[in-house]
Amino acid sequence: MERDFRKALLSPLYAPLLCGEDAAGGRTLSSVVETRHLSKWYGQVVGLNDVSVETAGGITGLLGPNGAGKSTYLWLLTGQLRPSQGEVLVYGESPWRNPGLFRRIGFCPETDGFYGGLTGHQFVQVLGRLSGLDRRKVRERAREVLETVGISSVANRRVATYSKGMRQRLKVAQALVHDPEFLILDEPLAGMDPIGRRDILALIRRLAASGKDVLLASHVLEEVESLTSRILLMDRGRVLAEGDVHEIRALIDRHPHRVRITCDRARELARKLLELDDVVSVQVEPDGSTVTVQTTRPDDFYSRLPHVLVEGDFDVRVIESQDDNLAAVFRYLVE
Amino acid sequence: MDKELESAGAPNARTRAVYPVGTLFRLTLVELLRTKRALLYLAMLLVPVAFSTYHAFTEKMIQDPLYVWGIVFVVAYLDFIVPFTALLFGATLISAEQETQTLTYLLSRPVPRWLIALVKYAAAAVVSIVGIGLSMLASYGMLASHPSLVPIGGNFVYVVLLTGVGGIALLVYLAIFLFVGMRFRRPAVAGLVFILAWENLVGLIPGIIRFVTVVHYLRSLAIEATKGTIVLPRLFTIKAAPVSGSLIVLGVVWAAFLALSVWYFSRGEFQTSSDRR
Repeated sequence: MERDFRKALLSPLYAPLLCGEDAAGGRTLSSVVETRHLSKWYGQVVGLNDVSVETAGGITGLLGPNGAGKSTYLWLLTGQLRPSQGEVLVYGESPWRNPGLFRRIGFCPETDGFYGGLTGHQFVQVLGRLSGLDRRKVRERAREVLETVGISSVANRRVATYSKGMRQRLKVAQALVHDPEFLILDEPLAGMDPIGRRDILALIRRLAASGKDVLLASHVLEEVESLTSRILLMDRGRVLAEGDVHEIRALIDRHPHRVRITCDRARELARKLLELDDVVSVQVEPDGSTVTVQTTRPDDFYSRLPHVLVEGDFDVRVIESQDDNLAAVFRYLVE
Repeated sequence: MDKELESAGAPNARTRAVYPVGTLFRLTLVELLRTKRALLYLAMLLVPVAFSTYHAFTEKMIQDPLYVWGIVFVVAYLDFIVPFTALLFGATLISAEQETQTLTYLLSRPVPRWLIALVKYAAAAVVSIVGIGLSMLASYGMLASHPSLVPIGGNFVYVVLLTGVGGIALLVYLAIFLFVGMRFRRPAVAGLVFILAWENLVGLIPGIIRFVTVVHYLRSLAIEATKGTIVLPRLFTIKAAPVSGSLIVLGVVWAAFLALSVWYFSRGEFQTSSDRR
């Protein structure tokens, strides 16, 4: 059944449902991004392999592990790279050597580079000016977006003194300064603290609600899941699936979950866990300090695990889920 | 916040037509002068000034100061400081932004790439020409300040003309190294080979091969600028090209490399496979 589901996700018939194909069956009415057989090679290295997708307005999540080709895809959308083969269109226009299109796009790159000699305010102002805002307007606008992303208090400090979280917020601010229609955010939450993540996620929601289109690349399913139900799953330069994030999520949950617990008296814990009806198998590692549990109902398992640990007075050092991440889904989809 | 965004200062039709050349120019200036390269540049500029100062205060200065300065001009400026400054700034104009990962910001803005390349070139030219020009004038000023020597006015025209030759040299070398910086993976190595092996060694070989070096035409200009009356020791070993011929050749080399650089930057991809995720 899961295999059937995967087929359904990958089916070309599925795309029109996502993008709202017009009655004539031609170009979609609301597609923001459209790629046809898009490929990109870096010499012998394949960055992107025959990707044909359409992305509608609103928020779309681009999910994939590191090295999946997400950044290559975004660089093609922002005209940083030229397709080796195929075609990419943003709002119906090719971004390659088309600077006029960049007025409509705000790009927050994953790379952590800045003009370190500038203050945060100057940095946003400079990029606002380069986006065509006039001198008077840009000062005001820079102040607004820095406040919006929550770093107005450090706006006059040099960027070189910013923490990772502040730098992430600053990158989002520079993407917003010229009020673009389409925001392309490459791992905007990487390295942020929980409050920062919450703030930026809320901001993205507000931006989408105000009518902006957002493409958010991430390797963390939960981040995307909290924003949108529309996702593209990428791995090794290919789009593995596109569709509803909740169905993908259900797919993870149906797939047996593995949980590793490192504690004292691992064999005794293994015996107790085997008594739980949702536990499929238990394995104690040779060193006798780690138990690996497979469960079919991870939510139930996690709700009962604390009771087992407290009752048995186990000294737990580590609990980690090996399947509660995208890598597990990718493994499943690829295998 | 939504209201803030709705009221944002989206570029209007008037501002869209005007590219923010000044902003990009100032940004490049700040970045050029902020890095460690600027310290190396400053150190290079101070060497001939220090030499001239030392010479003025320790020698009896029986020669004309322009004679000594002529040696400084050729050996220090024309053969060393000018090409190395051009390499230092020209080759890193784009590659430094690649290294610091700031190029992405520029390339995702609505500014044509050709304009980015030209403005960055102009900023590097201004920094180089102003710095080296001041250094040249200061080094000559120190030599000419010796109380027992001829007044500065008589030779000053030649100094100004040679400073102009230095400026032309910078414009040409910067254009060459701007291209080298984008095209070669190790621009510093390629640049050093060009300066040391091509310009200096090939330029010394008798015969027609020296005509394919840039420095030959620069030296020719220097000879003509001083009308051959000033002894510039290494220049006497070659037959100088006429001023018009030198200017045409240098102009063609400058235009060709600048056009090549702009063309390459406009069509180049500056994200590598190692940057991808």
